[in-house]
Amino acid sequence: MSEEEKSENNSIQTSSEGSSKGTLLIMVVCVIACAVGLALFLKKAPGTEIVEKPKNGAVGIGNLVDGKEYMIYIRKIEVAPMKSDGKPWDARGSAPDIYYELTWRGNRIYKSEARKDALIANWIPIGLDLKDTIMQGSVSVDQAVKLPIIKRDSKNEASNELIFKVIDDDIAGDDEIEKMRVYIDRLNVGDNEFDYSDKEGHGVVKAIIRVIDNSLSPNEKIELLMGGG
Amino acid sequence: MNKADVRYLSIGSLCLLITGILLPCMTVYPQAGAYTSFIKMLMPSKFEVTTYSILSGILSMMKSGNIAIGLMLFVFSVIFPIWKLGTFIYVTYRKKKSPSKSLELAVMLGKYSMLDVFVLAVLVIAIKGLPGDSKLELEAGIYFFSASVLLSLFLGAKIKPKSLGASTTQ
Repeated sequence: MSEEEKSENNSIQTSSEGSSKGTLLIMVVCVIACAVGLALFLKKAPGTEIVEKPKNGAVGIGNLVDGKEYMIYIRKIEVAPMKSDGKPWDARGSAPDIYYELTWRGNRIYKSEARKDALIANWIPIGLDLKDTIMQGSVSVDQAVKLPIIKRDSKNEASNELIFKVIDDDIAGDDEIEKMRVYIDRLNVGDNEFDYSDKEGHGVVKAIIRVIDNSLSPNEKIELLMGGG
Repeated sequence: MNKADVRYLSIGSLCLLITGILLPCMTVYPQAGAYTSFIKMLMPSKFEVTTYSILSGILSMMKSGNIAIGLMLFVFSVIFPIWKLGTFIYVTYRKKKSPSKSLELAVMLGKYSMLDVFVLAVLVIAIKGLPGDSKLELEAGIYFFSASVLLSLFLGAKIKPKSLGASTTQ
């Protein structure tokens, strides 16, 4: 090895020890930042939810604000395969035609469309009324979204109760599948799941009731109504 | 800058690059101006909020049929920067005194890593330029990726392959 090479190697060694602390620190910071970034990403991973995940409305303490208005509807309902007395829903052996009515403060405030021959029924309550559109030339979002509006009123005990009557639409006469009493102060914004699958004698096995803040913008309301089918 | 500096900065840059490629870099919120609510009702799938990482963006581009552009982006945004930084790290461990050809090539082609920045800039402009108030939000991945690009540009500028041979530095 020549004198020049020796001196070059020495200078590299010296400077390597002297000035590498800064770059080593940069590397360590980069590695830590990456580890934290990846860890946070993996923790957050399975997607964002459109609707706030609530506690089970049947047992939890609700988060609806006193005096504020909310839209409410049954998003999904699952009924038992037969009546509680063991008889089929329909004489011809077909599944029930399910619809529901909502009663609040002693008045029926909503009646849904019937879902034909279904044991599991979904409702996405948005639709354009062709007649309205033609007659008026335009339809507002409020007209397209036809949902009942309720309000939490802690001073009025009677207005705390909602009655969802789930009915089998039958030509011979409607059969009541289940009458569900739901208390507004136990509901949460978002989906509230009621599960009766472990209890016998219920016509409804599962129901998901969705609550949406009525003060949201039309776009936000539609996003929530369309979300999570 | 000595061997150890190059090694540490290259490792740091490589970590940032891999994280930047994997993490989400942008979220697109499609809108259609005043008609957003109604079009949402009719075609909700068109308004899905989508988050892209650089890798998932390239893959979805290839899936949608733009294989040539997807491959070009993959090579210049993923393969080339990783190879370049890998070369920088390798050279710091190399014991031969002769200049490394791959290092020369990496430094020479270094300017093309500007393509990373260019590609992202084009993407941002393309999406921000969409009508109907469509919104684009930058996510963490873009910051990691940009930091890596800056660090590797700095390295590329500092490294002089001919004078360095094995030792690499200015």
